[in-house]
Amino acid sequence: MKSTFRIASVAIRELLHERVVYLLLGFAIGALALSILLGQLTYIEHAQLTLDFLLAGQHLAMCAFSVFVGIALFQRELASGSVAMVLSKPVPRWSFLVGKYLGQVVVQSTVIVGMGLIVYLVGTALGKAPLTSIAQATLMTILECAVLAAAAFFFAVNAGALTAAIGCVGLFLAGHFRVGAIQGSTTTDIFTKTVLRGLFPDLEIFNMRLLASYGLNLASDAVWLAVVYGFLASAFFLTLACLCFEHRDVHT
Amino acid sequence: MTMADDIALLDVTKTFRGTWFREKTAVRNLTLTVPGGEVVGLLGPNGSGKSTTLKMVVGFLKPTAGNVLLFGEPADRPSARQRLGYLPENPRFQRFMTGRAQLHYLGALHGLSAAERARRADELMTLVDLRDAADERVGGYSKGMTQRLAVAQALAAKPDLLILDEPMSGLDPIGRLEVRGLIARIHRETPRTTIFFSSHVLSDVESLCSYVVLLRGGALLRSCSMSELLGEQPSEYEVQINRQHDTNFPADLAQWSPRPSARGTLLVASDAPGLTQLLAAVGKTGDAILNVQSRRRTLEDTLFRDRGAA
Repeated sequence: MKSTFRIASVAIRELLHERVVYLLLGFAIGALALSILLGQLTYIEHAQLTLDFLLAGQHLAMCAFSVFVGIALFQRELASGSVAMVLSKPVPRWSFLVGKYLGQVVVQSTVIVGMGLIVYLVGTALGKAPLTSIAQATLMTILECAVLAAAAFFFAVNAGALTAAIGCVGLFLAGHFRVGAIQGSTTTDIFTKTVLRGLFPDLEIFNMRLLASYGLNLASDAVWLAVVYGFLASAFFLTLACLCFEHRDVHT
Repeated sequence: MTMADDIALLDVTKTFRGTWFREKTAVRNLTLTVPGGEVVGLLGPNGSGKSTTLKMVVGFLKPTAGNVLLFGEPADRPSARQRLGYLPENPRFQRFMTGRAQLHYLGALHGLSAAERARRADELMTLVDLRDAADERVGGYSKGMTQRLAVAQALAAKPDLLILDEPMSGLDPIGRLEVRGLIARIHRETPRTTIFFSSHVLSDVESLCSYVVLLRGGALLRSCSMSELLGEQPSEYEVQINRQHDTNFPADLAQWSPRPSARGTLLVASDAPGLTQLLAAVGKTGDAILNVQSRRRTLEDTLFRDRGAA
């Protein structure tokens, strides 16, 4: 495990060196601009609309971040050949993948929390800052991004960067629209519906942004369900990624 | 395979799948052992399967058939790499880290303690002459410096087996000389360490190795000691005479492969009886003999001869 944490700490330094913290700065500036702009356009629901937009912005920006950074963290090491330095040591391959993943999750979760803080500050300035709701929405985004990062590693291990990105975006869309697709489908075959449910993770379970913008909270059992689901889905994709990486050739 | 063998490849084949399911066999039915404590050169032209072989030994590539053992264990097991140091063909590091931080990081992956890592980092930076650049970012290192840092990281855990994939590749003549000197020094200071390196530069192999493995087309051509390959006895005798190699050159001397030299003509006898005959033939022509010298066959001569025979 020591080697896993060592690899994770280098991954954190690698991401910090790439100035991912600038994302926070960009988000803060965007949040301020959006708040001022919406203030000009709307009269009665200014605070609620602003919170809704900011939480959606936090969610989309960090989902994209988790997919593209996850793919890049793995593919870049492979393409540059620096992976050879690590894998020639007595380190299991899964340790390399899990270390990279943990490093990414730590950094992206920190950035998401930072963004949540900015949302809270903007809400406070507008006179509507439901702390619990914003904290819950932030936690849900952290969980969804952790699942997407694990999926990104799985696709990156098995395909090139472009294919992996397409796979992740497809998974993101399917994960958010699968419930509607299954309910809207004309098939009555329970087996088909079960397969469709099992094939894609349910990412809508993490969506409580609209509730948060109204200052509403999720019940604690729904939060726990999302936490457990998030951990299991992440573990599932990461385990698949490790198994595939274990059996593939590493070309350096 | 014996217990003394650090590496054993047992009937190993590696096939890569290309586009449209076309397959390319990079290594075929290779059986090979590398004895401990030797400096072993893996030789062959481009595409002969050298790098593929080394990558299977390090565990990066899985053999399609056969077994690769490292210290008696399957090569893809992490524990098999505990006593291994590896230098890849084109070493790359995390560019934002300093040379010293790299050695700490990679040493930690080898399980070295913090104190041990600090001590080894100092020792190795001195060994590879990077002490002054130890705290600079690797992104600013030249290719030669990166190569030397890569040699240092391979030595971090005092390995029993050092695998070097084209260690002199892409270096300028001074860089090559430095790395060659470094390998010779490692062997001198740690004679028990087996050094297994690939190269297609024959002079490098000839000057460093005690044992050679020749590959061609992914198959084993020969595996023997360097002295066995080159032959202990001088293989040729060169006789220099003061006659110009022109149209009037005597036909009697034509069988001795005459070629012009700075001071006349050079004739070559392939063995001692041939030399006696050559000297007698020159005596008949009345030409002055300027020089006679024996020449040991080089690896280049041997390989070209083998290639001609094949």
